[in-house]
Amino acid sequence: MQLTNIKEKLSLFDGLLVTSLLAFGVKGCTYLLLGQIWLIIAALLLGSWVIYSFYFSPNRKYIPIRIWGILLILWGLTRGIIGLLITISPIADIHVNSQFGWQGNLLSTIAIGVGYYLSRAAKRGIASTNK
Amino acid sequence: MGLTPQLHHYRMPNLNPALDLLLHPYKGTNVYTILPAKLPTEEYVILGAHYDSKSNCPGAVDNATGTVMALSILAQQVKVPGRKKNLLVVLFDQEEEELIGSRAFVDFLLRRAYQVHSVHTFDMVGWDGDQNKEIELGAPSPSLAERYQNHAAQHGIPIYISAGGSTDYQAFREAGFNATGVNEAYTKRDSSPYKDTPKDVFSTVNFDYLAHTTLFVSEVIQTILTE
Repeated sequence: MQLTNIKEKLSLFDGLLVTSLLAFGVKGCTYLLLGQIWLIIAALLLGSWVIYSFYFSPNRKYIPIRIWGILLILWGLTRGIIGLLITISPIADIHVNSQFGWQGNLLSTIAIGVGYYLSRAAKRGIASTNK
Repeated sequence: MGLTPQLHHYRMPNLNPALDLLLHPYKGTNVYTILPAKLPTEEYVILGAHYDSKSNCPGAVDNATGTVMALSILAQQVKVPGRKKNLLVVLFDQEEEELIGSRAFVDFLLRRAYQVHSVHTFDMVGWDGDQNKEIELGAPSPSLAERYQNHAAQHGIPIYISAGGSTDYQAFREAGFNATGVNEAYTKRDSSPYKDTPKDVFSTVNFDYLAHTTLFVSEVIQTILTE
């Protein structure tokens, strides 16, 4: 029954999964153009692992998705904490300050929400396959 | 002065890969112009000063004084007939954020293979509490140290060399350029107490010191441009 639920919501699940992976791919490309290679390598490795495990592996695996969801939550939480600290005790660094206005904090919140959704969906998927 | 300002837009990664993961890249704009030599040459003398300030800080001494000094020297050199080197004056963005603007400009110079004779940056030249007109040279190359010291000795101006602090010339020195910083006696603590505060305002600037230092450095630059 859990697997059926996931299949019914597959379009939202697919959209959020691919979009979130693509977002970090774009971030990796941005920094690649500035001479920083590690982020695109990490994005490609992680994204490939997640996509292959879920869509192309003979036995559909949900654990990589759960891990990706948790990583998204951690990313959003870290930014959220930084944003909160800056609000409580502003710093003089304009570069950092400018990234934690309402748009930056909204991005952090969205990451937490998407990460939570993906993680929960993967957990249900794991549970359904273990029946 | 009939010169065309040019904008150098840049993006730079954060100083730490972990910050790249969390933050967007640095984004800023340096502004520069070139006063050409009277004869064709590929050699440049560069004057630089940062135009940004800390958040909520007017930045009169740090660093409107340095900016004005660079532009005043440029205005003086426009009148010099026998210039044998090009003079490039650049105003840096984001010095207060880990020297990002000057680092980006160093990359720009290296990519375009500019032949740079020397780099002179100005940061905080508006305070002289003990009224002795003393000038600090920040981590100068040996040739520039000798040049400035000889010139100062001719005019009886106290000048000393420091190991330097965190300001724009650091980016150039690290890249191997012949560079120095010129500033008020910062390491001797004869320096604006209002740095990085909302009190760093116009009324705190010692304009006598600024003018005196500007004229001195302008003479040094003129000898470099005409030799």
